[in-house]
Amino acid sequence: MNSTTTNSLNANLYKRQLRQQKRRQLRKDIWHYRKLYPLMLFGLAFFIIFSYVPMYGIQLAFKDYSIRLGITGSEWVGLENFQTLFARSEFWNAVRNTLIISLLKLIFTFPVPILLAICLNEIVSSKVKRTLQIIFTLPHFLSWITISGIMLALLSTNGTINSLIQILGGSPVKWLSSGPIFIGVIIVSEIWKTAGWTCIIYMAAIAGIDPELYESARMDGANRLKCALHITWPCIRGTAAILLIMQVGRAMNANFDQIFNLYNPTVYSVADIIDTYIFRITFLQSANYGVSTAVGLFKGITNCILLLSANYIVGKLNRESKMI
Amino acid sequence: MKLKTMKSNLPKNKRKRKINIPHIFLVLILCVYGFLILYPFYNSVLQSIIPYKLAIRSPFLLFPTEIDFTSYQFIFHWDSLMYGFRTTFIIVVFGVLYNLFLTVTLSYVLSKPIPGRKIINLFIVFTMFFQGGLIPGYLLVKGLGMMDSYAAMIIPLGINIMNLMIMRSYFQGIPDELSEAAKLDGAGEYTILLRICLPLSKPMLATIGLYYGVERWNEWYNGMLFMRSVEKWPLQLRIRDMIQSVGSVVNQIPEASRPTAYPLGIQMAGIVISIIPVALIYPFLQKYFVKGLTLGGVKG
Repeated sequence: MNSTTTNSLNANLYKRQLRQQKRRQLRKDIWHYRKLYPLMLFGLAFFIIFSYVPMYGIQLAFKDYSIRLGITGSEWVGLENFQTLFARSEFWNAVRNTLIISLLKLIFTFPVPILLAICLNEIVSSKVKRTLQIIFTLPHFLSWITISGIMLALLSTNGTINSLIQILGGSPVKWLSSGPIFIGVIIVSEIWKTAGWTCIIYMAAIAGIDPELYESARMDGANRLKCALHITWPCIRGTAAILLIMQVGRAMNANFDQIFNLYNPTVYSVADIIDTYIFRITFLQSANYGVSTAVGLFKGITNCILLLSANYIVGKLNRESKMI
Repeated sequence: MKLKTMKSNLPKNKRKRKINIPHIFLVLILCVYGFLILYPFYNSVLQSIIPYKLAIRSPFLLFPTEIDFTSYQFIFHWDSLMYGFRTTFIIVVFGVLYNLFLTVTLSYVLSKPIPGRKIINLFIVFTMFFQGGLIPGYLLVKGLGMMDSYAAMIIPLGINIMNLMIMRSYFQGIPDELSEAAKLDGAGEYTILLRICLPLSKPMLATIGLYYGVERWNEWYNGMLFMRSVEKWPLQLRIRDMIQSVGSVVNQIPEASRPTAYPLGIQMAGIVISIIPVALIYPFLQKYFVKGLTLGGVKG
């Protein structure tokens, strides 16, 4: 009996010593880096002011905002803003459109950079590879405004593509004003702008693969396709999983810049997303800041839930690929 | 998410690869994709340099049979666009300096094993996934009295978290021995940052600066939200205005030159000159762009 008590006493003593030692070390570390801490104040102040202070403003979702009373002074109205919002069919239309567009982007846009990276990696001549990479990444550096102009020249009713169709004997297509076709334009233009850039992330992951793996696979008689399937893909799967989780976590965004610059009232029924809806009801129609904030909060929370679920599911499927 | 520094001196991939039929086929497919990327640009340039009579007959042309720079003449005499260039220039210069200052100071501290680093990281990454949203952000900028000032387009866009991570990884890659040696010689933390770490990270600073520069060049959203005076609009917002309301452009064309300069030509000329600065510097700096992305390579 005695020996166990002594043991536990010893253990406690040891733990306490360890804790004290740790604390001493911590104090020493803080002292050691004391001059560095002030340096991060600028950056932290930025995050506090422009990311955390607006979070304080989220309370507007539960208030009837009046300019005179300000954020803090405005009257609490409970869930009234949400009730107003949920009663609007335009809102549900926007939610549905956002989810459809995000889902379509996930299905069609997501695999393209992976395929591009695997294909580019197979190219023997490094000069050709470099040139192609430069071309593929170029659209990434343009704003959606510029791209919308470029697309206008191509796709307007009497634009270049319709002119080509007519030369070939077809009839002109309403690229930008017919719902389903417009969604197709959204998906294709997203691929056009982003695939080349995301491809570089995968290329970086591929560059990290040990060449020995390919060497030994080749010895065993594997051809290029087999190497791509059984070596390249498993090695970049982790990267793909993270990008997938991040894309799912942005599902409620569906790219404001793109849609806002391309859409027009004729395609609102299929292309009006949550962000464009908030923008319109806030700045172009009669402003009700309470309702607009409620839409934002609804969107933010849904995004977080989607992110965490995607992270959970991916983690279940493959433990290593979990992000958080 | 862990950001892993990639070794730059990876062993060169030495497996010999034959050029066979499937390979040629693959290159062809990628070239077609490259063509699809480039063609829209070509089309815009084409539309901006052909005369109206060609464009009205058929805008689809393989190459311009007649060249005419009326659209560009109009663009360069259109004051609004020149104002746009001026605003964007101001935003790019001051904005990038501001971005670099915030990013470098914060990432340098986070690159050291200081106590509390994990909490600060969490504090920062959280903002990637949850934000206050449009209205609270708008009211904040308004409350800070930045409406209608250039500050509204510069100050709220301080740190891009991706760039912060890239810069931190780079600082972590600088050997500790260097700063230890400097410390023995009596250098303080700030001297080490200014005299040793910053000069060593010039390529990375260039990369991050370019990322921020492109972001700033493309800025329009805050301009649209906060700028009441039209003469302070950034270039991209001008171009947006030009694309959205064709009529307003036509009306600004002097009566005399109306038959030759046509709206689409002018719009495309505007777009082309807004792309030119990016398109010109990009191929030369591509290795820096790619380097940044490789260094920040997301790894599971």
